[in-house]
Amino acid sequence: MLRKRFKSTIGIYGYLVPTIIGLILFNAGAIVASFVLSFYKYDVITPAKWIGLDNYRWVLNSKLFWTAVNNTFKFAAGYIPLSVFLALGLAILVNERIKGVGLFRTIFYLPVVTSMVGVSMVFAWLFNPYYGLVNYVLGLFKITGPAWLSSPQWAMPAVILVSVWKTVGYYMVIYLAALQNISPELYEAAQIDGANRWAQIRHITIPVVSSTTFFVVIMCTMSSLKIFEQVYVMTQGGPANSTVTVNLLIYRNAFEYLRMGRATSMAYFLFAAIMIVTCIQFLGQRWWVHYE
Amino acid sequence: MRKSLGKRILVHCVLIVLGVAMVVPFLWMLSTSLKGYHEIFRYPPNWIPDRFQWSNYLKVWKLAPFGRFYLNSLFVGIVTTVGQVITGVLAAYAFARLEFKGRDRVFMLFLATLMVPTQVTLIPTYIVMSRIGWINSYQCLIVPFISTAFSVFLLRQFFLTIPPELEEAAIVDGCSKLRFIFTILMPLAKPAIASVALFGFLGSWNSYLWPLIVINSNDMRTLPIGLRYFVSQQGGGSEWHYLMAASLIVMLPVLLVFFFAQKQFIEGIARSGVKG
Repeated sequence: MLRKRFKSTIGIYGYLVPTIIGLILFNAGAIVASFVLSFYKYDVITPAKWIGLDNYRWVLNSKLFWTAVNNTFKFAAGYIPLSVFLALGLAILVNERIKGVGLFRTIFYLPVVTSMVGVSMVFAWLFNPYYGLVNYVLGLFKITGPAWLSSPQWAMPAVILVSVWKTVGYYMVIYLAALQNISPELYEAAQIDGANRWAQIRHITIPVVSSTTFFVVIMCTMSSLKIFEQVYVMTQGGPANSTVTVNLLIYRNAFEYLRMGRATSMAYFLFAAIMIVTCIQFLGQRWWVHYE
Repeated sequence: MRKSLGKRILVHCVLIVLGVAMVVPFLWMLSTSLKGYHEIFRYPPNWIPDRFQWSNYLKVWKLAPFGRFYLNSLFVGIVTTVGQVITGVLAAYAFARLEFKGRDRVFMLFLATLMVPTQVTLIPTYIVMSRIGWINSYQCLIVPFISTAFSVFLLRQFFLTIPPELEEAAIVDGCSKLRFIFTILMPLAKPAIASVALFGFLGSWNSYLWPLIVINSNDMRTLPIGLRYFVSQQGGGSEWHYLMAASLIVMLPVLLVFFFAQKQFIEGIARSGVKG
């Protein structure tokens, strides 16, 4: 009996070993190690030196860090509402029973599977101030397009547009799944009561998918705070630091200047920000999220 | 609900406008990649090149070892995917079926790791890799990603829908647990496994930050950082026809995979989203 139990315990660990090792080494362990490291001065080559809260103090006093925080918020302020609004709109459209709708689903989802680096390259060309397609199209409407990626005012909006274009299909599919779970009787009842399409969307669709909206907002928030590749490839944080993000600073400090301690303390600020924002979102959800 | 003709036309028009906006960047990439140097700066721009410069692709292929980049990406992607499926199936089975103390707590802890931003774990992982001398190696690109919370979560949800009686019957017939997993459970879980595999492969194929940090030689570069290397070789330059050809070389395989497996992609996301 005892032997059998022992054997089955071993069995369970057998199934979980690779996962647990991964969890300890690359997740839980790394999280702790990162925290410890944030109190050290460490450049990989010379031994680490304890410096207490100096890294955190340095980060808080760094003007560039606050610029990066500001930029990251700007990105989030554009990216999150645009993504939610567009994704829901697209989902409602491709949920209609009309011809060729499958093709549109495919098209809207297409950018999601491509690599962000490739996409960033393509958009760097599209946003070219003189020969880019974007400004050409604007020109057709007699609008003089801005210099986009080389303009401090317009670089961030351009980065936001690229990011929305790249990811909106993903959120659309999530919304689509939620829409397909709504029972048609709800709409039929509303129609009998004389509600038009807009009223149906406002009073049925939006409240019913609010739990999905909550999920999408959380996902968008997290990816906003982690934004890296777009700015790394398209702008390198410029012009005039207008697209420097926290994640870009972490990368530079860790792997260009080899200031590992400083970088981990920034990563912890970011981590704390994600936790706080997510908590607020969870607390706030009872005001607007309806669960069935 | 039948819609009036006018409404259907309206929906179609909106869809077409948005659809064009989504597709144009791809078409523009293709068009530019086939133009000659002077043609890319023509104003107003033309969509169909005067003469199709297929040689652009040959040129790009020669300027940087894209063949090697392909092999690297493919190898790393396949091994990572296989690893994720195996560890994912085993762990998901344990979390869904085996009874042990603290099971659900460990599972929650595991899910919580999805919340942690990669930047936090990136630096210690890099230090570990450089200590054990794995920088610039395949293992370094593969091992940290071989077990992911996402795949375990997705597979566990699927395993929970399979009736436990099935396993009991198999065990009575003298089937071992492992054999049950590999010969009965896995074939049943094909759709979930396909989703895990697709997302695993895609994640690996498009992965950028990690290879950027740990890879420093041309024979080890994967496609995304190979593209970046190619760009820096061109001095960031104005040779957009080459840059677009290179971008297309990098994107084409996933676009093709997507066209053949789009159902799996879309169902996979729907599955992870609705229950998340």
